[in-house]
Amino acid sequence: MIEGDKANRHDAASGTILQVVESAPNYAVYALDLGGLVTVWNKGCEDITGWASSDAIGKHHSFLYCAEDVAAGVADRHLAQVEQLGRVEQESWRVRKNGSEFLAHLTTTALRDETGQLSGYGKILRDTTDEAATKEAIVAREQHLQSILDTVPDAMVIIDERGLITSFSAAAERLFGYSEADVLGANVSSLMPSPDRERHDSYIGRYLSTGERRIIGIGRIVVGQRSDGTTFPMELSIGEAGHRGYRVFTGFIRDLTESDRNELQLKELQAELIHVSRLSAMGTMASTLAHELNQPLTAIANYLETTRDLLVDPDAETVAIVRDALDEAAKESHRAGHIVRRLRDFVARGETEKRIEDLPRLIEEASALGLVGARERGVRSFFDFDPAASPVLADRIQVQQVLVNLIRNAVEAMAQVAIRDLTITTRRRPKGMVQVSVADTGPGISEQVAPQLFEAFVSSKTDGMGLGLSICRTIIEAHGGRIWTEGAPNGGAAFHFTLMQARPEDEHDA
Amino acid sequence: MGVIDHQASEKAALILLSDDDASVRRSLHLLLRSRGFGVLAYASGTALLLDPQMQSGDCLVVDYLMPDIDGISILRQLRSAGWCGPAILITAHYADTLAESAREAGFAAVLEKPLRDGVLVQTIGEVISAGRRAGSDHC
Repeated sequence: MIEGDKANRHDAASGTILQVVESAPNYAVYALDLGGLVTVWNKGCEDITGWASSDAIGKHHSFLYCAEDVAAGVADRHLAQVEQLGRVEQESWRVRKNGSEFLAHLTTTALRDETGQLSGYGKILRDTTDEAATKEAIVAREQHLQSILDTVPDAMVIIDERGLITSFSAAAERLFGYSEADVLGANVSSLMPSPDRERHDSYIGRYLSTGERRIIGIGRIVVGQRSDGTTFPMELSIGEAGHRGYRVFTGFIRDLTESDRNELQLKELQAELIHVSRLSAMGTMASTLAHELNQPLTAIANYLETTRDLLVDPDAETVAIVRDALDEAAKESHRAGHIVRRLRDFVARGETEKRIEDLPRLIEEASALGLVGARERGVRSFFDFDPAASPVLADRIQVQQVLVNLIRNAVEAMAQVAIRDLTITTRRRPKGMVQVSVADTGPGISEQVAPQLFEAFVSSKTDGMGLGLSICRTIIEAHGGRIWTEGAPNGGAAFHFTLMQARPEDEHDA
Repeated sequence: MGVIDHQASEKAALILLSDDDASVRRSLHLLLRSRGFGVLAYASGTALLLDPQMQSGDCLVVDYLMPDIDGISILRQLRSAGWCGPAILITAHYADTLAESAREAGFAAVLEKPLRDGVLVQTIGEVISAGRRAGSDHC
């Protein structure tokens, strides 16, 4: 009785299993006897291979193998392996009834009876051709993307919302001197010097909480730091991708060390040339004007001498003549004044194109360029920006040229001293002006040179033409500002210049 | 967006593929499948000719030199069985004379192995759309 119950339950259980097996259309489930002949063949087998169970039952399972595998004895070796290991999973190519191939994922299990004796083999097979093709397409796409990243000349760094690096292009490896493996998972702040290094997490945090874009989609010039600690100016543009909890930021970086230094040098040379040619033109102009000025001055002198003589013994008639002569003298002096005005207009004629500029940003960019190599020389830089002292009306490139000039002079001046601190300050001044100061801790300016410092061809440097500060003055005066120097409180030199603050109504002209 | 880009506008073209070199055949199989083509791949030309399903193929891609039957003879037999699709011959032994006899036999293109990136997929697209424009004039 008891034996019979057990047998019934066993039959019921295997009946359920058979139903499950039958209803799995994407899975071919079949079994083999010890000799490798098919004993069970479900509907999924027919769907996938094309062989009906009437074709398959009793056949040696090698009919599913490719001809070359059959010839090589793969089918028999496979069963021997399963017997030894108990279970084998594999991915390999099989043939359908119609002779076409598919990639199969197969799990083969050794079946044993109650005594542990091998009784046959159970097989579960799935067509994985499309999965493999998909994987291949993904790999191909990744390789394609990688090949693009490898050849893009600009360095590319991708970070996640926490600022951790998730991708580092080949150009980035060359630029920063790290390999991708070194920096994956590291905070991107390690690629920048202080103070950005300490603040970068808060930059991201501020953007994530406020959405206010200060650099994303805008781009600006910042300072990067290489693995050996040296720094360099770079142009950074950042793009943003992804959404809701998985955002990434992609930074494209162009090294400005060479390109911008060259460009800046070229611009400096150009400015010097223009300045020199203007000076020489002014020389020609001056001699012409001196001649022209002589005419009215001579006339005035003549009139005045005549009136003086006439006034020795004045009568009514002489008074009338004197009045006429003085009228003429007055006219001549106006003529002289007109000539002087023409000269001033000529000197003041410059090609400035003023726009509304954010002053801290303008200064930061100029500093990134002017301070190239300065950190390595032990120069510390400090910035003190008055929020009320911005924006300004300025030709950005020209004013940056002035700043780069002053910064370079300051760095050079501090070469021989122990403390090398450079401080750039902005302050709001009366009458709508803004003052920018560049102070150093160098030896200061000697009282002999100071008065003529801004004249052309005056230089305390052996290799300078003495045009730098004279150009600075031309630029600042063309901006309606003033440039001067004085001793810094801590003994070094301080250069100050003023610019016009931009008022909101200037917006329309910008 | 799926990685396999199934051609949206039309039913995926079915490619009949035969090359006796398993590594070439299987890598092309996966490549074409990943580009959205349906693929019937056969280890031998005989297997292809024996499969009644080959009639529904839209394009034949076949190796020239195979042990049982060469690619040109395969196309001849397919044509005489009434199959009218465009055909591409691939071969590691390219020669102008071979290309000429292939074209005479009705191949729309002859490609030299190894196949450069994307050439096969591009050529398949070209010969199928050229075949559609011309109607079934391959027979």
